[in-house]
Amino acid sequence: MSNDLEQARLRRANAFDRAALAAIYDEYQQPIYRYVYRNVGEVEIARDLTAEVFHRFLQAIQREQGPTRHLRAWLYRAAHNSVIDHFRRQKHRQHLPLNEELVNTRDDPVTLAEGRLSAAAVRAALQELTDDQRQVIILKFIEGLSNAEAANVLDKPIGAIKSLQHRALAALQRHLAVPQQEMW
Amino acid sequence: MMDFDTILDTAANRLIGGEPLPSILADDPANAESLGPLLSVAASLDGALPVQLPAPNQFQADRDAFLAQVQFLQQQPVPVPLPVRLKEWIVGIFPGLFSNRTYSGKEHPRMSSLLIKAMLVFGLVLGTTGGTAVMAANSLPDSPLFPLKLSMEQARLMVAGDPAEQAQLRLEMAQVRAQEMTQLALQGDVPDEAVQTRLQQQLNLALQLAAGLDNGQMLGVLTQARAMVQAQTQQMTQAQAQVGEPAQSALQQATRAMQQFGRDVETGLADPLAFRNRFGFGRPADAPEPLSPEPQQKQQVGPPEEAPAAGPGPNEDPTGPKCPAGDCEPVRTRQQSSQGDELPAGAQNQHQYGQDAEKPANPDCPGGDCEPVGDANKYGQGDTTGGPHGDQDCTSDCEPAGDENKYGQDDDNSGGPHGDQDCTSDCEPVGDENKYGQDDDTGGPNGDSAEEPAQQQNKEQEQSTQQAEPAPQPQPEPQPAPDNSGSSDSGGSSNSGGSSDSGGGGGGKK
Repeated sequence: MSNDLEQARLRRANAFDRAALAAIYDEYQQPIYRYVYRNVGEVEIARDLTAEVFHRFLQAIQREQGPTRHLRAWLYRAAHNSVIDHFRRQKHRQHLPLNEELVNTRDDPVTLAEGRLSAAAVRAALQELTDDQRQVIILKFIEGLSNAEAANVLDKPIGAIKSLQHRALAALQRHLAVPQQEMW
Repeated sequence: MMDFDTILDTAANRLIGGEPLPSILADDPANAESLGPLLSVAASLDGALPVQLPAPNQFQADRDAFLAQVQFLQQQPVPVPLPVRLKEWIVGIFPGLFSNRTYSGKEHPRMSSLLIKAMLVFGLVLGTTGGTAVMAANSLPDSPLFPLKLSMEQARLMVAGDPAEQAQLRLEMAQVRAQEMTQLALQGDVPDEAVQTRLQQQLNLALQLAAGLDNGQMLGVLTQARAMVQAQTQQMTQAQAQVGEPAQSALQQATRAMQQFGRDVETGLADPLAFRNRFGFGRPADAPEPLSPEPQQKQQVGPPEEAPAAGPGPNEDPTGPKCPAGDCEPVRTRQQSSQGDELPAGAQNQHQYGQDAEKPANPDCPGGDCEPVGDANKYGQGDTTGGPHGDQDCTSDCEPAGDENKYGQDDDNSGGPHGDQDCTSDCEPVGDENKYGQDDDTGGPNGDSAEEPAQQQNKEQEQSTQQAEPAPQPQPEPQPAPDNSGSSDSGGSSNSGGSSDSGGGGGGKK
């Protein structure tokens, strides 16, 4: 959607236009759900937290503090905060559920080697990262956000996002190297 | 030259965009060795975290719930929170204070806005506190803020550790109290008793604090007090002419208190020593101690049960001195210290360190020509009076005893008839040269009187009284015979001790 169209839709949403709000929900509900699910690992919790994100969105609009641009970043940030609140309520970090489904294989040798990585290994390696590093990896390589959007979600400058990305990939490489060698 | 973070980011973006990894590495052979493992890990993440989606009906249920919320919130009135209303109000007054940007860009408010709010709250609290303090400082006793004003004054006193500073603060507070009374009266209100009490308290405390200072500081404080008295007295006098009767009376009372304070201040400026002795909490180191005459020490010698209580002796009119002609000067007028305002005006004498105020002095000086006794007594005596006194029956020209007695005598000595007691005409009293008191255990007949029983002395005393008073007087009720050890200073004799100012039997001179 072009920037102008999104701006127009946001203006209508801020005026509590039902159609505009429904369109926004239809567009962003599943991405937000996936992002939340990848963090919490449970369907029901992910559904609840996703509903909470859109509830915050409506409350912000009602207080006339809703977003007027960068809607996606705003929603991801709300989802990120909801996840953090969830873990604070839980008083402990919940490990992501193991999933033995293998990654997609590709034709080239590098891709084939990568295909041997199991989802469990990736999840385990992600848990070894810091929160910011993990969020950068998920937002950028899984959810497909740009550096600017990730920076907006995490409230950090773009340079910090690049640095976090570098350190996160290096850490993942270290943690995945042993399983890869064992598998090979 | 780009740093490696940017190089990696560029390559990662190409990988996310769908370019194959070998082509990305081929385009940057210099960094291929470093980029290869990292990009391989990044490529492995695609699809590595599969998501379990809910059932479609659950999606639909969530969507319906969202739209129901939309409908519900549409019907709700929009509650504008207090900070927003406050911000709008401030922006209405100061349009340039806040930016017009309404988009936050983030869900949470920015730290800058929090800081601005915190500063606003801090400023409001400080401003409110300061404004209240200023209003309290200008409040009058009928104001609800007046207790706060008094508390602030107490706090100033607590902070001031120097007694000189405390004395000056008391003076300032007395001045404020006087000004408050004047303002109240000018407003048409009547200053109540509490206001006047506060004024009097501050004046008294200022005097007491000043009396405890050294000479230089005390004179400085008293000089300042004199200026304050003049100013406030003038203001209150002027205000009296402008107010009605109830307030006028209150102002007059306050003016009198201020004038009395002024007299005390003048006393302090003229005679610091007397001022210290009168108002000081404790005697300063440089103030001379009053002499401790021997009789005061011997006052404790006699058994307490033998010393009658203060009051007239057996032959003494309990209602007061017998001075029919009215020419004799009461001895009490000689007192200066320790009686203060009770003294009649003009009663200046040499007695400096006080004595018992309860003693009837020279009670039976009927002729009026007799000189009061104890003229030079400076250091007072005890007060357990009782028993007949010297010169008690002096009816004509006999000079009372004790003129030269300067250091008093014991209280509990000589309860019986005393010297000069029977002197009716030209008899010379005994003990003229006795200046320093005598022993006090002697309770028998003293002086010129022979050792007669007490009853006989009473008869003689009655006769002398009849001679001095031609008109028939009702006889007093018979008094019990005085105990030998019962009389005190008021009944001293020539042998048993120097007389007191109130009529000792010894030491009279012609």
